[in-house]
Amino acid sequence: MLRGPDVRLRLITVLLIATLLLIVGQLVRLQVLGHAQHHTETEALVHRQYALPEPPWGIILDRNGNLLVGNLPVYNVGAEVNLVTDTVMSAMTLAPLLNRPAKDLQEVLTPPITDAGTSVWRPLANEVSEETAAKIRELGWFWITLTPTWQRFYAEGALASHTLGFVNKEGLGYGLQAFQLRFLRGNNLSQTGPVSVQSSPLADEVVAKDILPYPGTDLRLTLDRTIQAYIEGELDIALQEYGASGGTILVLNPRTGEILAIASRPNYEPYRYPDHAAAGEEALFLDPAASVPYEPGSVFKVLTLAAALDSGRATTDWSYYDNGKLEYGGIKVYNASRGAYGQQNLFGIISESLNVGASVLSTQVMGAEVFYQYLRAFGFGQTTGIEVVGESSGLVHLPSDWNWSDSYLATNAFGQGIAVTPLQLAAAVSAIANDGVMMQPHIIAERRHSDGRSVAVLPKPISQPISAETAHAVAEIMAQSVDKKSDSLEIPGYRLAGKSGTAQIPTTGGYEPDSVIASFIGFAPWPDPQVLILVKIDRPDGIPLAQRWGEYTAVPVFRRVMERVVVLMGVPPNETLTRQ
Amino acid sequence: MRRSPWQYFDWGLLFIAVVLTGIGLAMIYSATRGATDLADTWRRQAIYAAAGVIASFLVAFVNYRLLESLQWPLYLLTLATLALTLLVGSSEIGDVRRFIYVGGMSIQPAFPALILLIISQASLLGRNAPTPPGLPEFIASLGMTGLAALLVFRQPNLSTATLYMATWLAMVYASDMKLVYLESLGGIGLIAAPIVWDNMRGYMRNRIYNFLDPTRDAGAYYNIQQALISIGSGGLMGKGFAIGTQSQLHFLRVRHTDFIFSVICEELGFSGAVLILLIYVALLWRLLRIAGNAGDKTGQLIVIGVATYIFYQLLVNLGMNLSVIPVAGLPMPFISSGGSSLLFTFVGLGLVESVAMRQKRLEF
Repeated sequence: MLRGPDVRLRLITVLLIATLLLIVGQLVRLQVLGHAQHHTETEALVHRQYALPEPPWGIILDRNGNLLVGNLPVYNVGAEVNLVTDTVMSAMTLAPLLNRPAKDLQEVLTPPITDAGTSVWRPLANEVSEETAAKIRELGWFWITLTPTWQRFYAEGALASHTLGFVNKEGLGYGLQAFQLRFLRGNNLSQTGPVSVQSSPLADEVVAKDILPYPGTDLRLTLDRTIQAYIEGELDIALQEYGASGGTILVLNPRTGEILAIASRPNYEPYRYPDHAAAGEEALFLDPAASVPYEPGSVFKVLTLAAALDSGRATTDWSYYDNGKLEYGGIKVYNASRGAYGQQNLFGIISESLNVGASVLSTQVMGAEVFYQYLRAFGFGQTTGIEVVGESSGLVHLPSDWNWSDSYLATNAFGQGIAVTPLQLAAAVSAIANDGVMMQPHIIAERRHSDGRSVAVLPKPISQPISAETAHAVAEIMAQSVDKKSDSLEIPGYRLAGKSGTAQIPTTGGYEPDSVIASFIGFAPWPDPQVLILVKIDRPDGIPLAQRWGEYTAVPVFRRVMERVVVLMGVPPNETLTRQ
Repeated sequence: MRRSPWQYFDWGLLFIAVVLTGIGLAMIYSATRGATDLADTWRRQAIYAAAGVIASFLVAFVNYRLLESLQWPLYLLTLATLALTLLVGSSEIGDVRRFIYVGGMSIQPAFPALILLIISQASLLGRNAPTPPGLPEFIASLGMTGLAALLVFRQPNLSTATLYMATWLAMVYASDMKLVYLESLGGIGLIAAPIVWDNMRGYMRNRIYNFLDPTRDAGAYYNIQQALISIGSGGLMGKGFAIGTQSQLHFLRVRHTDFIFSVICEELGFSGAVLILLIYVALLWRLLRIAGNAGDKTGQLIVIGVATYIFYQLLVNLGMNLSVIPVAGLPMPFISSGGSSLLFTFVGLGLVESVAMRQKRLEF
């Protein structure tokens, strides 16, 4: 029978069966003998550390619930470079999409030779838009990874940029966002467990470990978007009109400490912070209102007055003889006009802004111990505790300091030789507006946690530097001095109290010639103040020297802003005042 | 009394094929689970399987001896199909003309063309029966199959071209031809090998290079490594249906087509893989039994051709999964996802049934 076609059929059969046995042999080698090793390999592949999709950060709203900072869905692009087959073509295709040079990408996409066969993942681009991600997805390359993440979205562009701030990839930054990072950022857990080839964890795994990510806490601020936009516009107009280099406007409610609006120039766009940083403009990130102290000048006299009255060293009918000059601690103090004003009382010191009178109060009436005790009570030399990073405590020289000079006692009385932040000054003067009680200045009105709980930030009194009687007396003097200038500072229906200042700018070993910081701080409506506004104009060098005074620069801005803000806040006018 | 030819229809053969197809459907379901773009793959495969079973009945009904008389037109149809593929064919990969798209389904014409070729070659080699074919038949069939294989090679598609030649070799061998012809051809082949090597496409040579040195192409190496890890991690009993981590977590790519055997090995283990191989052995047994009982030489050669068509693909696919031969894109018959491949395999079985139904009458 071993002849003919049947033999050949059998030989074919034998050949096929032999080959199948070879296959089975290989199966034995892999599945039986090599099982332990391959089992370990697959465990190593599958059980890896993974990060869950980043939950969105908390959003930031203004006091009325308008969005200030939100989140945009974006994607981080990466590549399993060991799986890329055509690096040149891939790099050329991706270059325009990722906005990176093709040569650069080609280098990144080329796997290291030593690691051939092992998994090598490399990032290609961060935070690409949803449209770009869709185009990349259309390419259908399995080795591309698109990790969804979030990008901060600033709904109002540069509005309130210093206050809102930003946070970079390292978790560092400026403003409110850096300060509140631990609230704003949700949990971002990484775990070890079964993952897919794209390093994303399995649904069962996430549910079993109960590690679902939760988003960050939303913040509702005390800021009012409308007032904020309005004061920023006024500030821009003022700076342009006066040719000024910078400035600050701050609006707060002295009854609660809520900051309704706070703006400074020069500012920046939080969205573009990497560009600013690349251009070496990091100085822009510091909030001038909270982090940059300046010499306040004559506005400080109201605090000197309050200290003298409250300490009982001076009474409301106190007076002195102004001969236009005071020698103390080796320096001579003159009035701004270099004139002598004769017999003057407390009202005269504020109304005529007499440096000599203020120095008499600090040096002769109070003395260093009492004066600095009050400055400390008003919060100078300490931060206010506002919810932004990098707040400055200012600079107050004390008699115990190694570089103390007696002249500081004389000059501090009218705001020279002392550095304060606009925020510190506003907080201190708010005590005069609020019956002697300083409220904690704050910008967060409410924290809305992701679990639905919501915690309101309540107004908090932090100290009472002066008595209610002193506060009323000083405020009345401030109001009367404003009444005297009724032509430039009149808002029908609202009585204002305030004080202007024109401070020289200290430089190494003296003061800048001609350059000043013009400011005005005031509140309304007296006798029941609801709004306190500080206007500060830096170096209004675009106008003649004689017009750079606070009265000519900061005052008109203050009047316009106050006139609008009382209306926006719904503060009713006083009918008796209107009828006059 | 005239007996119905359906008496000899081999139900066992069809049953085995349907069992294998069923296993294939289950494994395709497992391999594509969780991939939204592939969610419909197993349903489409099921439709093709149903169409394939119907087609096998229709083909079985046709007397293969009728086709025998059409051998020349059939051969011309083979060439026309392959030429058309070269003209209008396309593929997802660059300059490759391998598929023709007809009404939303892609067909690889090289497979139906090979079925047609098997008929014409069987007719040619069986025409002198019972005398074995001589030198003229040998040269004619070598030229005819060689030309068809060359057209496939030009697509380019090396693995399918080798399938053509393997089928021819098995049929020539089974035709009882003098071995000296084949031996001479082998000698010439040895001399010609360097020329073929020079004419290979870059990717073909790369695959052979990659096989010899797997670290050369990271992407290909990844596939091989993942397949080996999948198979090895399956162990004796497997990880269980639809819960193999390698395949379910998509570490294993092209898992529902070329690498479905790796999924089987991972999820069903050594025992499952061997069981499936035993089913293939049963299929082989049925096929060879029909070949042995065929009514004439042509019928027998048709069965040998179809058997080679199926088993060459199987062995190449398994060899690739197990990394014993270079990566080659031949499917695992009945099991790999791929509608037209499944349909034409059933058409091949229909031809075998046509032979079986007209087998030698054994009654006395």
